[in-house]
Amino acid sequence: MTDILKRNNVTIKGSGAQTIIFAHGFGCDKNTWRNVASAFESNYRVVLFDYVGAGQSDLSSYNSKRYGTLNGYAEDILDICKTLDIKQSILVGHSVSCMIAVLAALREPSFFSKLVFISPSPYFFSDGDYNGGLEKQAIDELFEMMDSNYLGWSSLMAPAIMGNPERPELGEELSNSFCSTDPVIAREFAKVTFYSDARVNLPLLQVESLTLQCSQDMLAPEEIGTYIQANTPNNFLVNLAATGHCPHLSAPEEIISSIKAYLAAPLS
Amino acid sequence: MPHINGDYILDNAPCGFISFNADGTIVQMNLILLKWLNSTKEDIVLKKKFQDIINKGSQLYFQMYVFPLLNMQGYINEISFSLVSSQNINISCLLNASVIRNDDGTIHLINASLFNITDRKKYEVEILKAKNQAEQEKERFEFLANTLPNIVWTALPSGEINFQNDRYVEYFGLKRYQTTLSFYRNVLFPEDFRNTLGLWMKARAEEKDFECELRLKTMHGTFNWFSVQVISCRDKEGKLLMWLGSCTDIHVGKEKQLNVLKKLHQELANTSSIIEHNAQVLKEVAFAQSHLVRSPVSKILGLISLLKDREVDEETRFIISLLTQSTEQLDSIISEIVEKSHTAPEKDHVY
Repeated sequence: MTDILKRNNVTIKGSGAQTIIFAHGFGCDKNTWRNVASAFESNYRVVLFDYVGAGQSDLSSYNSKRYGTLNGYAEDILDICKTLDIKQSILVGHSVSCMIAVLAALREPSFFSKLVFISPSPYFFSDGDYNGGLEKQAIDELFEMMDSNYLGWSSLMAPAIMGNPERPELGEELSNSFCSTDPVIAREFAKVTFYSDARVNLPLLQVESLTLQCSQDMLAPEEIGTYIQANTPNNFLVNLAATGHCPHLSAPEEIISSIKAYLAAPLS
Repeated sequence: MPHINGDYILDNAPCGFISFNADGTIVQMNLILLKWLNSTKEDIVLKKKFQDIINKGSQLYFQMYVFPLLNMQGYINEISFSLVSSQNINISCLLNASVIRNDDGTIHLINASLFNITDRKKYEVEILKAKNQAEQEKERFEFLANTLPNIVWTALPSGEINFQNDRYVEYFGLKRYQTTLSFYRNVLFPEDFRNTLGLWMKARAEEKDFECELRLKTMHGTFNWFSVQVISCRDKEGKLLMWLGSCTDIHVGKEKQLNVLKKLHQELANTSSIIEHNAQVLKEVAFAQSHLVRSPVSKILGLISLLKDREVDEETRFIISLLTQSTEQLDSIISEIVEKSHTAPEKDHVY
């Protein structure tokens, strides 16, 4: 049987009756939560993890079929919840993890009591009245950028890492220079992230949720927050002072206080 | 001669220099970078953000990879980026950056140097193209190899296996690239293991092709016959590049062949025993018959000797001598038959 906690590099800290799970976005790993997660340890059991393919997860567990849709990533979250017997938890997602969280909550609503979306986007491109913020050309340029920055990454290394789960230092060495280890996985995750359209799932969501919306985020224009609020039952929108796509890194205090305020006095 | 101070050196350095806040607002930029961007300090400093002077792909890359990394480890090195000039021209750059933090650990300032690599980039594009082509070729080979019904593998000149097709993985039910000597000891029929190992080591030492037939363990624990061919692949100069091996399942054919051989042996053994039996019978008949014939001949010889003692004319004596001669000839022929039918048959002659 697969050791889920090892596979997803799960860490559990803090203490409390309720569990709070932080799910990282595309391009990084659980370390991006370090400025935020510790603030919740005194009142909650805090669960951090890496999706398979990211950070220090077990790369040999990666397969293109499972992780070819956001559902595969949602299963990672559900696997962790089942393993740790998590119910009625708070799931905080960044970027693509927000829509992964929606999928997880649609599959197992009882696992979650509240979802928190940081810089979410259900669809990155524009479509009719919907303004996703990105053009296809930007994604092509991003792939080009990824390719040229992985020039030194030898594909010959892949079998060495894939075939040596007992030697994680092979993967570690690479992840120290880059958040994501394997460029093939990074590319596939990028494709899933950018080409998924999760808009249809929003109206189905039963678990209540909070959107933390930044300004000047090229990956999520401000009207996205409004769109999510309008199309998702029991969604509350907070516009942050923070800018950019990673407020949990650039403005951790604002993220902490916003989440705490929401959890203490739900706007409903 | 201009006054050479820190600002002068910074402005005229052979690389771009920029300082910006955590939100990207540019607070400092040297002259060379302004020149690349075809802008002035007034247009840029405190008016533009770092995101505004790089292309869309770089912006995404910065948001998703570079900024989180800068935040976590405090520096990044050699990131390939594209600046965009005020005339919308892309300038390929390498970016090194380090973070100056506030007392509470938040980012105060990011300092970055940018190296123009426009020429180098052309070379990189060539490398990237070649790399992609090589990857495509590899994929094509793997696709073909996986489509084949045979077990196919490749090995480095040293013998280390570096590719196994789907059939290989399925047949042995294993994870890729996890084959060791003990693995082969386990899946090869013990007798074949010894023979094949010798052949393979000899082929590797001499860098020559080899082929053999051997038995491999199936998932059910039984052994199936395979025909193995290993070919040495060489470059134009004849240098060994890799080994290409294939195993073809010949179990049904080989079993048939072995059965036919077995049947043939059996039939031959049956036939030889029949021949042996017939020869024996023939000898016994000859022996018995020659004895029967011999006694009247002896009688004739006795009668002839009685005739010899009688007074007879010249003509009769001549006839008696002829009769004696013929009878003795007949007797010696019969003796020969008796003698030969006495000798035990020699088995070697039968086969």
